[in-house]
Amino acid sequence: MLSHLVISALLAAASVQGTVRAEGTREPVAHATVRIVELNRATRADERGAFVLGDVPAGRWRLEATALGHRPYRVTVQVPASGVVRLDLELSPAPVALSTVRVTGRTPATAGGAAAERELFDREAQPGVIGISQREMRALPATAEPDVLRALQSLPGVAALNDLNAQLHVRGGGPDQNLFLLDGARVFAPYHLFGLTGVFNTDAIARVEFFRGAVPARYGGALSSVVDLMQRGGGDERGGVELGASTLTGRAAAHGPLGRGGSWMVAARSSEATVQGFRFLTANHPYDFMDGHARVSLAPAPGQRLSVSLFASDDRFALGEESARLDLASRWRNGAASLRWEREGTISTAATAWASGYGGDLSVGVLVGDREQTAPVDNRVAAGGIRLEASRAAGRGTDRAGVELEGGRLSLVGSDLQGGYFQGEFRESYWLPAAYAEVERWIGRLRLAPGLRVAMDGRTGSILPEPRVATRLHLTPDVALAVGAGRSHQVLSTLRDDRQVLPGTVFWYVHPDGAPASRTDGVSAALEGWVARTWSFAAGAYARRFTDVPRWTPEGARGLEQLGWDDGTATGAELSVRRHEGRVTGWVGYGTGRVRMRDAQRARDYDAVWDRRHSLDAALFVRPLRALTLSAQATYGSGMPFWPWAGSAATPRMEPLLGKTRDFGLVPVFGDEQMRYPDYFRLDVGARYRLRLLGAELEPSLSLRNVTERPNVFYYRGEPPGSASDPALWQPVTLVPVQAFPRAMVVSAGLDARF
Amino acid sequence: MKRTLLPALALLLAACDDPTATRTAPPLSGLSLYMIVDPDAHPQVLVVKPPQPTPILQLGGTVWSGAQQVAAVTPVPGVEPRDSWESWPEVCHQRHSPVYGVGNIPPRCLVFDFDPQYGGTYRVDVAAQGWRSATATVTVPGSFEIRSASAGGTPPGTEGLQATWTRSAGAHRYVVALRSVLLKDCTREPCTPEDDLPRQEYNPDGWLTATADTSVSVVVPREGLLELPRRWFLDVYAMDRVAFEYLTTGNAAEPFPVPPTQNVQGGQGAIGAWVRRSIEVGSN
Repeated sequence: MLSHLVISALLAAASVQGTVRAEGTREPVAHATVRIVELNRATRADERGAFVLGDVPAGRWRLEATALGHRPYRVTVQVPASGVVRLDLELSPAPVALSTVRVTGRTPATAGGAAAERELFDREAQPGVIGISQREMRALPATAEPDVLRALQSLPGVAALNDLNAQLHVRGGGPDQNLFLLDGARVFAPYHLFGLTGVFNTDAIARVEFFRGAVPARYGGALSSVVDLMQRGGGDERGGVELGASTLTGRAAAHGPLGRGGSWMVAARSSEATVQGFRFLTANHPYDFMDGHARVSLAPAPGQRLSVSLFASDDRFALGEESARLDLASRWRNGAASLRWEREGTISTAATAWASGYGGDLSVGVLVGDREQTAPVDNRVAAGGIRLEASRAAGRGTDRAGVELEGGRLSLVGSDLQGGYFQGEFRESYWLPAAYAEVERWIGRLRLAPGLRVAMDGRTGSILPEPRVATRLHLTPDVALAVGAGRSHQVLSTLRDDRQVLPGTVFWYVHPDGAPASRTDGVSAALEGWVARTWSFAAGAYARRFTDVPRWTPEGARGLEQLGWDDGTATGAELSVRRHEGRVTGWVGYGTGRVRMRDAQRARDYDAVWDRRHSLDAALFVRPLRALTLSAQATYGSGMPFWPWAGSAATPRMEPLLGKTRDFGLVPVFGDEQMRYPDYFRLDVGARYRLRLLGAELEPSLSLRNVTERPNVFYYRGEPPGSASDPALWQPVTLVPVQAFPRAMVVSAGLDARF
Repeated sequence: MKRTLLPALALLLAACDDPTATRTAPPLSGLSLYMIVDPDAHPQVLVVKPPQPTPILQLGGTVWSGAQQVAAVTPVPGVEPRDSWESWPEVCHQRHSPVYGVGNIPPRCLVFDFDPQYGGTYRVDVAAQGWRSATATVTVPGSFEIRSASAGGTPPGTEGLQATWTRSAGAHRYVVALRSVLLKDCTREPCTPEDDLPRQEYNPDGWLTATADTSVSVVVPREGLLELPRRWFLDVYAMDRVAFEYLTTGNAAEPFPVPPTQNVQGGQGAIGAWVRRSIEVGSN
């Protein structure tokens, strides 16, 4: 590795400044992390590679610069009592050049390069730091396309409901307890295909930070996790065009520099552009979707950055004329935009304004008398917010404080016709002003990071204090014991009947008047460390308590009046081991947990339907050739609970909309005793090969999903034996397993091209 | 590595449950209770259904108002009424068989000798040998009166129906129904007041609507109304939520059926209440 070091001391102030460049090309390396090891003070270089570390005390310090796709660079510098130490740092490329997606969390999961992972281990106070590179996400065998959410699902402590559900259930939390932020803007329904895949195009995502349990005080509004996604810029690259096609979508992305220090990026994909489209699931091809990402970043002045981010997605589903019985149509759209201004200095400041919208509807055909009518449900979310934040390096640590205001209006309107998903009309606004402060200090080998967030529930005017704390005790430089604890509240939830598998449509609502804000209190601890700079490990446990979490159990009607507010607990332990570098890389993770809830209305305990007691995930990446990556991913999960359809009940039907009473109807009744699905197991394999052709880099890929062809159960269809001639009898029901895919093994192919 | 991984994988697969097997859902385990408390009726009746076609032995129940027991049915040791329609008390037939859809397997019917109060809250406990105790709480809506009612056309209401009534405290919805009673030819035999009493609470040849307001102004569709010689009554029911949802929902319509209302702990079923007021609005 070649490096070039120029030190000049100027008699102005005690600071360290400079530029991070790529070795050989001398191109600036954007967003590199520059850290003083002994002080644990870090800053991030801007898109021109420039960095400033202010208020550095006099002394001899180790300086470390890291950037994804490059080897770390370390140098020792002598900082005088005052003045400027100017450094030009040259980073040599890592063996495999990475454009990165990085995922951080509290449990190690996948490989992203040992240096990058180690940097996260050193940087975060919260228990656990995880990264998944874009290269690895692409190498993972995928059903159709690489997916951020599917990658997160493979982490210990994160449960997936079934093969068709990409929603995250983090450490006992529900799927609506995750806060998705895209460049600071909230995204309410980040799913395509009724939840089969995530909505974010990995071509457009630069980095993901995934916080579970111990969430820093700067985040609020969700109980279980924060998925903070940052779209990629273009200034750190020379610009280029990427094209891709898979069995699901066609994709196009372009990016490049813009002016001095600026960048731009656009990315889009559409299922309409595919060769096979959705036909591997159904011959009727009822589904189309698209999404688009854009980001423009400018540097109006040294140390300042102004960026605009846009995102939109559109899903359409229509199943009708081919089916004589069932008409089903759905459309859901996401839109998010943010404007962010940042200024770096001794006191760094940032201001973010964001707006987000979601529209989801679901229409079904129902029989009213002899006529078929449509029973629609329409959900609209319009939300926005402003966030102001300041941070500064202070001695052996950093301080951060901010204020934010989030608000919005939600509507959920359903038909009065029975047979639709929701009946009634509900419109409500919410306001969540909040202030927060985070402090981080080193005390010997102990790193202490307390924080406090105070929000106000605008519905009720009540104050919601949320203390958060994270500590990390370094037993050795490579091994640390981390503990995190905190409280969170949530006033927005999604309407779902956990007794039914479908639909995947997301319906948001504000907790109605008089209903409480949901709350969680949790603590987690993990022993994390590194061995020989190649292996990392983590062993941890968590305990959480839920209070006033909504449960929708429609009986008698399908309205918000059927909401119940339950308490519960979640406990678990996680263990993971990972190899980051070498011809053979990968990870194995084991998680065990329990989610027990209390039905306050019926005074009975139950298990959340995502209560997976044991899970084992493993991924293996082998590079027999420099251009060839073979991968395998295995997933085992013990069966999760469900509510069986236990019988039919005869009820009289006095239907005002029909205008007369009718005879008795037979209605399925869910049992009061839960069952569990069979154990889940799946083995996927994949291969990617990279070659250059006519100046372009081509990368064909092939994935075989579920190569053992195990027919994992999607859900059980209830079949009452015999006839329904005696409506008074609660009939025993036979449960027939239904699989998610028509064929157990799914073959996916794709081709990416970069110019 | 291969030596370790392959046996582990085989062991894992062998330990997995069979995902292709059909299974039987565990049956519902509690008694099903159905009751509509009516402060204008006497006595009060409770229908008890088993979740399986098995006899219910030593069945008894109590009704409580706060800490005070207001009614009880105590099982007589060694004496078990047969579960047959013939053994049903007449009041059970009159008041509940058409509402509760008892079907071919007769349930048990408990008759409680008490007069509920308007606005009163009652807890009903039911126990039987070998079954979990089942209990539910019900609050009776307050009293109210029909202020005015007019129905034009033949049958009445087909050219306009207007009615107003006072508010019933605690009522979830008002069900407004047109009910007809076939006129009896009193020239052949003497008529009695009972001849005007409907044998069913709901006549399938009538019409109804539901509202949260205390008035209604509609044109009743002619469809479904028999034009035989009948006397027509306008009934207004002030229902609590359980009674209303039990009687107006329970549609099996796909894809999202509405499971029946349940408010019985330790079992299934619905125990609700209504207050009914009625006025004659014409004949044809």
